[in-house]
Amino acid sequence: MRLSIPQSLLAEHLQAVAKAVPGKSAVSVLEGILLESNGESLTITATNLELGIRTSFSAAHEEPGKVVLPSKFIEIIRRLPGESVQICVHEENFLTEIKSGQSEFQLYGLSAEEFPVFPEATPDQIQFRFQVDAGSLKRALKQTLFAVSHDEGKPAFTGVLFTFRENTLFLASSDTFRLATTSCSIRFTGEEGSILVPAKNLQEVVRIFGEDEKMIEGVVVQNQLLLTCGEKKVASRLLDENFPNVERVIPKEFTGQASVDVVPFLQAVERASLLSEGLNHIVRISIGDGTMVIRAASKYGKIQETVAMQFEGDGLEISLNTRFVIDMLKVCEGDQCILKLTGPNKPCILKDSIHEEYLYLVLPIKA
Amino acid sequence: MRQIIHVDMNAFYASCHQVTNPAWRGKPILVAGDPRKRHGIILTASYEARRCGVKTGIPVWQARRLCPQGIFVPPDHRLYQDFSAQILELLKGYTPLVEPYSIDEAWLDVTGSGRLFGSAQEIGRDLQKRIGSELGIPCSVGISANKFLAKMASERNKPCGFTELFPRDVPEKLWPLPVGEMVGVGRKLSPALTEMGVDTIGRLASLPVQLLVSRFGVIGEALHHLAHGRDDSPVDPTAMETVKSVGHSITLPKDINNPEDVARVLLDLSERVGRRLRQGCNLARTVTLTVKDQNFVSATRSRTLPEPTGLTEVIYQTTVGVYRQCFEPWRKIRLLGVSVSNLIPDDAGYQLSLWDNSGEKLISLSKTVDGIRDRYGDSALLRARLYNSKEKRGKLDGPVPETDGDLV
Repeated sequence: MRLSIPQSLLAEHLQAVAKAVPGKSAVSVLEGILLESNGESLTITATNLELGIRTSFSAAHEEPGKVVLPSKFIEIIRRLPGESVQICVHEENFLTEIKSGQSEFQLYGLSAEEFPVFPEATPDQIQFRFQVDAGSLKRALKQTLFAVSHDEGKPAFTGVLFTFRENTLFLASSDTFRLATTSCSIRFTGEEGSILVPAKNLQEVVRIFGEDEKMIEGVVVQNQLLLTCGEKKVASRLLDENFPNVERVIPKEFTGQASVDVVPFLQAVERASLLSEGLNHIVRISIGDGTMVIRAASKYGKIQETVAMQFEGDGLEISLNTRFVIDMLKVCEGDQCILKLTGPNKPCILKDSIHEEYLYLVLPIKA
Repeated sequence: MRQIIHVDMNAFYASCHQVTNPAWRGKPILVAGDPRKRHGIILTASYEARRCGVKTGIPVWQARRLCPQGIFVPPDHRLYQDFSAQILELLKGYTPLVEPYSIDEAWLDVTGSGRLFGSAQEIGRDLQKRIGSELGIPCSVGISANKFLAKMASERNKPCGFTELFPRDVPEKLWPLPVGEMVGVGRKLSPALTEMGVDTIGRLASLPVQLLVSRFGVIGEALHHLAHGRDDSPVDPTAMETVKSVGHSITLPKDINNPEDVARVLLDLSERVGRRLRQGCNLARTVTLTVKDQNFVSATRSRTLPEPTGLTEVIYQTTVGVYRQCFEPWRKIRLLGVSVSNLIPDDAGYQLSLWDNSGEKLISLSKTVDGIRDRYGDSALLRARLYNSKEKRGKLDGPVPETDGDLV
């Protein structure tokens, strides 16, 4: 393999795959990055078997070939002095020479034979196939990802549930104390069905698929979700766990509904969180006519804030975890947040005024 | 300069028995566990018994040989606690700044008591006399300007000693003492210091502080200051109340390795630990299991939970998990201990959950069970699994120390 490419272009693509390289693996070849060139384009792949990321881009080649390079390659390329990089791999021993400006590296490469095969969508194995625009999917992921659990003891809740229905993708996530559900329109026809995708892999999807409005092509094959957006591909293993029924826990009747400006509400809760320490970061919210009173207390002192709001229904006082409230208000895109209440020790629903499809349910803290 | 008094009851357990049973006064009393339950060591010996060479911690059979006329008494912790509480009340008559250090020791800061009760020396004499006459318990008193020197002083003369040890006396009185007698130097530090060629407290004081820090870390620096007689820790009346861990251990009547038996003992211990944890209104994040096997090899393994708990069930499940994971099933076990640490106050309320309400139910169940036990006693309700009429439940060794024991 022999090629010459701009340093910044290579560095950018390497950064995209970096998160999929395992820090330490029982299989040493996995700790590396696969480079494949076919004469016209260069493909870079990394995988930790849970998450695979592949990116390719056109690069002028003199000689095609394959090699697995240690993950240090990412950092090496990032720090190279010159504008272009020349890479030359000796096919007999995979010794790789990297030249840029005044700098010359020799890296001990490995054979690409051992590197795991990147999941491909063979037509007869496809369970679901859909198209979604990158912006919509990223918005839906941002609305749900923060609500997942980080407790490995509850594996089902470390993922986001994707449910495919005709032309709609429903997303749901929960850590059992709160639940976020949203949807986005997709191009999808076929049998309705669900998959559970590890949240940490979806974080990478949000990171890698840029702000562009490109279409993402999605395929579910066996236990993998494959997402392709232009030259980048992400393959995530699916969780083989049962996610509980979401519909059942969402209340349909409410005792009160409040509407409050997002910014003052968020700022008030953030200030209250300065004193709401301890296990549950408790903040007490009293909702009555025209105002919402937010209180928190700790051994350091107390805080009380009053926020104006519109309210209909029975007033009440509810204790919530400040972090849970802040998480949601931060992804609120509308000016207003709508609170739907069902009682002091019962679920409370927060909604974003401009996203009717987005629902965030929080369970209170029982004193 | 502060005025600190340290009061240390002499042969406390034995003294309590001699007070309640006049026939035992002036006789060698040996408080000891039951050898049949393998608790057969001397917990305390009265001074009459000590004259025969009996020391705390020796086995009962050896004590019998040394002191054949001795009266062997099983421990009665209620009695000791009762006396301890009365002594504490008496001490609080001189100052509110009384810090109990264990069941039979306390510090008093009498710096501000001078106008009412006189100098530290006068107060010391007075309380020693009163504890002796009103309660019948002999005690040693140490007087100094800080807690460390006051305790070192009271240790010097037993029984019924009255010792002053002020910072100016340090080179003359403190430095010649063997380093092992220094408060804060225990079984672990003492050999380590000896290895460094430190035999007396004076030798320790002469070492550069950097050397001690590099060898012992923060404790090294504390040792350096103590050896110079410097200690600015306040007399803290709440020190015993701020619980850092809760634990129980049991020496089993016979060695066991049947998983079911082990699990049952762990459940019993977890139940006691859980109850005390909840009584203190705390939740715990870390669960620790201690196992001593038939060869007296002991090991301690901990696990930190994702969410703090106050539930017996969670403590129990965790200890069983740790036991299965960390201890070979063929090892015959002599002692089991369960403790919880990393405590946080349980005033935070309970975060409700969407799907898993077992926690909430267990919490309300625990509250009900605790309520019944508060009212009708701990034996009012018993888990069926722990109910076994034939096999008498083993007696506890007593609580594992609740606070970090060392002065440093």
